[in-house]
Amino acid sequence: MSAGGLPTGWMRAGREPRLLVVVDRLLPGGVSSRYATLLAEAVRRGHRCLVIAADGPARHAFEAGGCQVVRPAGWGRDAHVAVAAAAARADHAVCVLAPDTAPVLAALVRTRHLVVGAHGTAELLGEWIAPALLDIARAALAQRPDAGVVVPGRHMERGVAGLLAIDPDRVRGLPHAVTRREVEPAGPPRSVVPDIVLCATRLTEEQRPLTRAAVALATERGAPLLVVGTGPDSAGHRALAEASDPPGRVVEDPAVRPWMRRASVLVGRGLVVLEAIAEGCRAVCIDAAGEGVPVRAVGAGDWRRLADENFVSDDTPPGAAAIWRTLHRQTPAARRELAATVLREAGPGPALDRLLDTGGALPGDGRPEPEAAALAALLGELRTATADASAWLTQLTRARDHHRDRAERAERLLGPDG
Amino acid sequence: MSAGVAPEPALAHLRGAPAGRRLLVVVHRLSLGGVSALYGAVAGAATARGWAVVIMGARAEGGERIDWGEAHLLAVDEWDAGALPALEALADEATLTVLAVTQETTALAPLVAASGRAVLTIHGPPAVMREWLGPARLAVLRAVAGAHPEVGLLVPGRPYVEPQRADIGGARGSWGWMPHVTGRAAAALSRPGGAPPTGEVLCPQRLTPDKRFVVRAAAGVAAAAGARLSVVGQGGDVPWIEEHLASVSGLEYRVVQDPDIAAWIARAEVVVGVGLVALEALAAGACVVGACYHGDGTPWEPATPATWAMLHAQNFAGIDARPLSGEQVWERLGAITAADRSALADLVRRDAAPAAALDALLAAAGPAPGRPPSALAGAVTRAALDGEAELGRLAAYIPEVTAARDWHRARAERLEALREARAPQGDGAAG
Repeated sequence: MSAGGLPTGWMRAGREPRLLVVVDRLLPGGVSSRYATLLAEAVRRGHRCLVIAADGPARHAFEAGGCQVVRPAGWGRDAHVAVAAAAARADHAVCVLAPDTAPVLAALVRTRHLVVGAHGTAELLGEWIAPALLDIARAALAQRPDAGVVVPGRHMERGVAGLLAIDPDRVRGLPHAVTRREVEPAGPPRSVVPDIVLCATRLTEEQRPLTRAAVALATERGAPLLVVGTGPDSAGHRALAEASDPPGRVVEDPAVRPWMRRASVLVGRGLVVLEAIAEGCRAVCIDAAGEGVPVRAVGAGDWRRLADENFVSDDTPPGAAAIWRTLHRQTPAARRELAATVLREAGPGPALDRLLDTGGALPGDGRPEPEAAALAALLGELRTATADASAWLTQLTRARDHHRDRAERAERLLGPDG
Repeated sequence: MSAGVAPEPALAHLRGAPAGRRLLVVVHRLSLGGVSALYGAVAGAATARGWAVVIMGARAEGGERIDWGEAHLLAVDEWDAGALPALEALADEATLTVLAVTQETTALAPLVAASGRAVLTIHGPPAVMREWLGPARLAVLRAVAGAHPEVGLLVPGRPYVEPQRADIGGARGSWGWMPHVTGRAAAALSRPGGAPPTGEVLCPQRLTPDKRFVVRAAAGVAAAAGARLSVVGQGGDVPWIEEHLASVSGLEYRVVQDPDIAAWIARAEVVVGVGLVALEALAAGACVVGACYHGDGTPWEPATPATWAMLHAQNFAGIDARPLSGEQVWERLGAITAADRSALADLVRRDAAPAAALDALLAAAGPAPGRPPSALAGAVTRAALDGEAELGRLAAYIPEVTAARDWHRARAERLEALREARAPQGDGAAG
């Protein structure tokens, strides 16, 4: 390792292009799997790839793809110094926007090619990231008018552009980068099954629209409904599912894939839809407005566009009955052909091309604006210290309350003469 | 975020003087302390030369006791992002802006440096500042010093320049010494006739951790002569001071929380102190002993006409200076005559007049920078200021909750012990 904890290979002069990705934490989920696949593809093409992220269990996926991972202890000054040093050597930098990484943009703002990853709707990001931190992202993007923004689906482009105060032309949907392993059928060809609607989703409040869409579809047909996934909002999803006719049920199971072989129609988003297609399961996407309306049966003609949009469409909803009619016209042969196409074409190559093609390049040495970068590092230190102080204060408050309760109990037991 | 403050009256005050004769001083707090007193005196000198002066800082207790001269005071609730628009309105190319660097104001340095002619002042020995500011804030100052060679950087002691420059960087020509001064030397502090001497050693100052080295030095001086030590002032470091003084064998002492240290200085015979305290004590006719900052603090030379220049150039807080034992200090104190004291008071009036500090500020400030601050730096400044303010609030709350926890715990233990003591008697009576 070199100064700043960066791998010596990254700092050493070399002709291979360097791609730097900054993520807050490497947690299992869509963001990690998408970038791990993208970076593995970049390594395959001869790029040197470096991820800087606070620790997380998903780092092995990156390392397995040949990517180097630097894991600073939190997002204090050391992490900022490492990012600034790495940015000076990077040909491409991607900053996945989060409260901890928004200040890091100050260190990345002069990277030759800069892309900001906004992996959430404008509403979610606006709630998650404090206004002062969003202002930093806005100022960085204003300073770098050539920098682009990628979002998981095209339906998010306009909202994210508004949130970051940039022209919508600068925001692009980043296609799913799926590997063959992820979308190959898990078993022999599926048998004919009756209409069963499966909704595969994380059980969170934000994902309720998916379950609502599945309920609408199942109720139209009177088909059984299964909602499969894990998350903190299982009760909310259960209440929605039970409103289906016949009442649907929620199965808390992180392994969604086996359930696809027991269903005929999947309502979902992203990779799970591609997996479903590969399994020969028919798939339905939902509307972009997030109201949980089923919009379109994913067919051979438009799967790529819908994949770009993360299987969320802003088409006019035709109604559940029309969707069922379309689904029933899809023959097993057409589904097999679609699955084969997905396996052939949904690779990480187009996704990496899109990422590297988003935004323009800046001539220069990639070194950050020193004052802004130093202030951002101070901000990182302050955020860390505030989190520590806040945790300590919580402990102290609990201890205070505990001793107050002890004293009150003892006083009661002593009685009025005590 | 605090509510903003309207800058218009302050702006009108500044514009009452021609461009180039406007002085904006930014301090952490408008409080009773050496830095406030220094800039109050500087404001007096600047006003006398036809300058308009605005002093901006967070509202604080004791500020009304400072002689601010004819400076216009602009008080903000605290230094968070809410205070920034007013500063941005005031700090312009026609104004010389002086920023007194503290933990809470460091984030303002890039903005101040890019706004117009600017000077950053660092009011403490380098080792104290290094520990107090920490690496992240020093890095901000280093970035400013690197990007703005035209910004003046001043420290309160001549020997502080090189160590401080090693931490912050910048061109050698950007650095300089700003003497500590007092505007009260001429009249207000002259020893009242017939005031009885107290027969003790006085250590009057803010009772804060950065001044522990002075307390240690004062304890050394008092203990050597068996004199009583009075540590007087205000601040949160009393528990440490009490503990330290109790550990000094045979020392008789008292710690008095009193903001009016001038009244104590007026009666003192021997004062151990640094900075403004030392100057005011000399002006009042007392004997003054400096303190060496060697991490733990030791007595330094008493002020005499011969040692005055050296002590003043180091703000009476020596670094790499030769410490003295308590006995050596008393030996030198014994040789100081009434004529020496009178000469020292004259030297304070001559060398530590407010004009000296103003001249240092004017000499340090280079031309206005060519480029305005970037919007990105502005956005990060706002977030960092909010971060400092939030951390400050939490840090202030922690001792309060800690004290409450300890109080409830002690009460619970007392009541439980009482209950345990009563329970067997109760059982026995029932049986």
